Amino acid sequence: MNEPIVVLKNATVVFAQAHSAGGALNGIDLAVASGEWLGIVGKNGSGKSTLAQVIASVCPLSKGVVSVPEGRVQLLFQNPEAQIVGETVYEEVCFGMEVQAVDPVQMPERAQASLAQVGLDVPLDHPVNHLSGGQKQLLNLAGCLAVKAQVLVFDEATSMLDPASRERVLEIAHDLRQSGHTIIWVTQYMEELAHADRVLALDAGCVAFVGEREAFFRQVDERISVCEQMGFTQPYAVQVAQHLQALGMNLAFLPVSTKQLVEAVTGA
Amino acid sequence: MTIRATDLRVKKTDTTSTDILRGISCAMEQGTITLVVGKTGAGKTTLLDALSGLIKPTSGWIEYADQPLWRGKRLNHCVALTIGCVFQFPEHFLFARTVRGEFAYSLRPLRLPRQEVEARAADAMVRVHLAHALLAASPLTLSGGQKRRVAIASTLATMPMWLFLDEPTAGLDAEGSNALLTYLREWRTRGGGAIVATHDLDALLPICDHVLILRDGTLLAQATPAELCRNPAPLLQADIGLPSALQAKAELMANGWSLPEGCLSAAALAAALAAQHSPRAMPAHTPRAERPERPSTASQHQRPRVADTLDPRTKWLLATFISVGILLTPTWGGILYGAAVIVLLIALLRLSIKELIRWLRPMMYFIVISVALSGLVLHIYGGRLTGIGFAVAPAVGTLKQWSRLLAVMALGLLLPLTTSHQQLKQGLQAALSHVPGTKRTAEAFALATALTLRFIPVLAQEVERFSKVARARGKSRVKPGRLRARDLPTVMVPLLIAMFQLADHMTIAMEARGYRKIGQRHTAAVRLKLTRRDAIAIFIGLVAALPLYILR
Repeated sequence: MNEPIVVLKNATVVFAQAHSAGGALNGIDLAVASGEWLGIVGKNGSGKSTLAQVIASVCPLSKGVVSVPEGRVQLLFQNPEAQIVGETVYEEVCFGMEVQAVDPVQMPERAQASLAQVGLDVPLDHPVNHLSGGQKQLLNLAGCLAVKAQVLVFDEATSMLDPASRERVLEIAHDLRQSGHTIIWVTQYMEELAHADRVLALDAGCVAFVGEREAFFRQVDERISVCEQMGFTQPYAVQVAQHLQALGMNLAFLPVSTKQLVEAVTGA
Repeated sequence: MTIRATDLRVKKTDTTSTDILRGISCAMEQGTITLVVGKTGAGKTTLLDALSGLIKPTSGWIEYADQPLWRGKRLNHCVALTIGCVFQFPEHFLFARTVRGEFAYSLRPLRLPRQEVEARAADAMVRVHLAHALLAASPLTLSGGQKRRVAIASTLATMPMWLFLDEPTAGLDAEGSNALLTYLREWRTRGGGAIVATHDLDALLPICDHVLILRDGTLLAQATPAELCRNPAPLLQADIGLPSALQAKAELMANGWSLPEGCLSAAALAAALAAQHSPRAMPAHTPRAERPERPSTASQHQRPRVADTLDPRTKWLLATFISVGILLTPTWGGILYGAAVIVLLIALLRLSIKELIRWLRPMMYFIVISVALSGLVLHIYGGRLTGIGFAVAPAVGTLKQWSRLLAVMALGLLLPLTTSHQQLKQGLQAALSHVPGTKRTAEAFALATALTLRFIPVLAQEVERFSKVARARGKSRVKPGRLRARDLPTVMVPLLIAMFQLADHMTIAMEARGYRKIGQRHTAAVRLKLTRRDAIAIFIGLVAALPLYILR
């Protein structure tokens, strides 16, 4: 395992009054290794978004410590509209670099490179309002890359997108992980955990489970899996794999997405 | 009873005359659930709005059991009362002080006695599994899932025959989503009809009876779920993701497995796979060709307009100089000359005059009324009104005053219409930075201005979204796009909440990017530099404005 890049010790967030934006956190201990993909799940109001914001250092802790590389953690959240400051693609990609006081001479090159990295092929002077929701989210991601983010926190960043755009954002995140980025992926969709190395399940602000992806989904000795205990439905691929196992066909690994299912049974 | 739509067409309301929907003919039966699916932008929400009477189709015909939905320009009120709409994120639209108030508002168009309203509210709360005591609670104190249930219950209480739902499972966790599917099944059993726009085929395909597949505003195909399971080709053509079961089956078959027809449960698929399992040669794998993301149509490169290449400070200087000239000129000749300069500018800048008039229209109405009032002469004799006359001279005087202001306003509008808000912000900052001691104030002011301008279009969208819902809930008979005074609270309260939330998110987003405080060190991607082009523009502008100062 690599060096930890994000470390939380007894991270506690208490809201003075009921907070519409999310639930409180109750003494979270967590270490995320550099280059790891951590999936975070939990019901509405369990504190997922608060945890994401704590990691991105935009939510002050009531108690405990958080240590992250300064300025290298970037956050993307649900509504792509609420994160865009610029009016054109170029203005938007540069916004983060401007506030981090990057030398303007470097900006065009870094902007181009990060747009290419997320596969957003639109002219630099393209008005942001003409982009689709999925394209806006990719643009936000490009803005994060332009400031050389090492840790990318996706807080239900695909929940307002259609399935094709969702798939696209997920693919790009996968590519970024391959190139060494650390991914923290908060989601309601169990299929989106397919790339996660570890899964953290929150319940009422506490860690209900943290462990390997397989341990989250696998049923041991006929008992229901952690995923089901948390009230989520097992992804179709996991269900198929469980039936296969009962029929005596063991797969090399537990598939979570349909793509992984095909890989697993074809390799069996 | 059936909803029958024939050859529907819906055009965009703004200047571009593209069709959002065209040639849609379909029928929906009572006691069935119809899904409307398609990529984002395919027209799902527009079709729902047209079928439920929230927008009037440009052409085509909609009938509810032989009753037309529209009588000329008016919505058929009898039909409208049989329709219930649950919008995307319906919990955003709650506004009343108590949950009971939400029911009262939704039931108001039915003009029911008070006991009946109370009974229906209580019954609807039971149906969505919420405690009766919550009727007295404020909707704002409920959890997200509870709020959505209240919103759905307030629609159910109107006892519609038809339920229209837009993305009902979006943002719900597994528990909420399962509860919703249960209500929908019950709803159908009791003979209700439902039309549901959704991306969530995994959840909704298994419970629906009929699927309408939209692509680019046209109806690509209609099918039953069983037909789609046998042949999912239309879903692929419309570029919609397949439900997991079909996706897995398609990918496995592409890899050489032979599988039985239809949608397979996880157990059935596993059985079929296990039966064929043998150490086998890997079939040749042909990856599907990646389709490049099509840039939206508006991205065609245009030659930059002159206005876009000018420094905002140049534009300011010119606008100010010409405005002062117009305000000072005492003669009609001067005012007309000023107007001519503005028209010329609009032509040079290749701006749309329609756009400008859209902004100025309220001012123009105001002028017409003021002029009429100021010319009005009342003849009063012995305390009684004996006649009404019109004096030209004071009316012309008023017209002159206001014409100057109208011209100045038009000039003022040219600036934001030709300058990106980021540029405006930088221009403002650059101009104010020369004033000593105002650097931080200038930055705060410039940032506030830029963000305000950025959110004007968003605000317009939100107003439209909320007024649509207010119209639907109030069953108002006013024309689409208009609003009654009594519906105002239903729009304003949720609108303000939504705006605060957006502002809250925006703050988090800016903070996440590293924007911690006003006055921190930062750089600018685009440096403003006054060029020769600006010098020429200033010179021409000054010369053109000179007659305003000379004509006296």
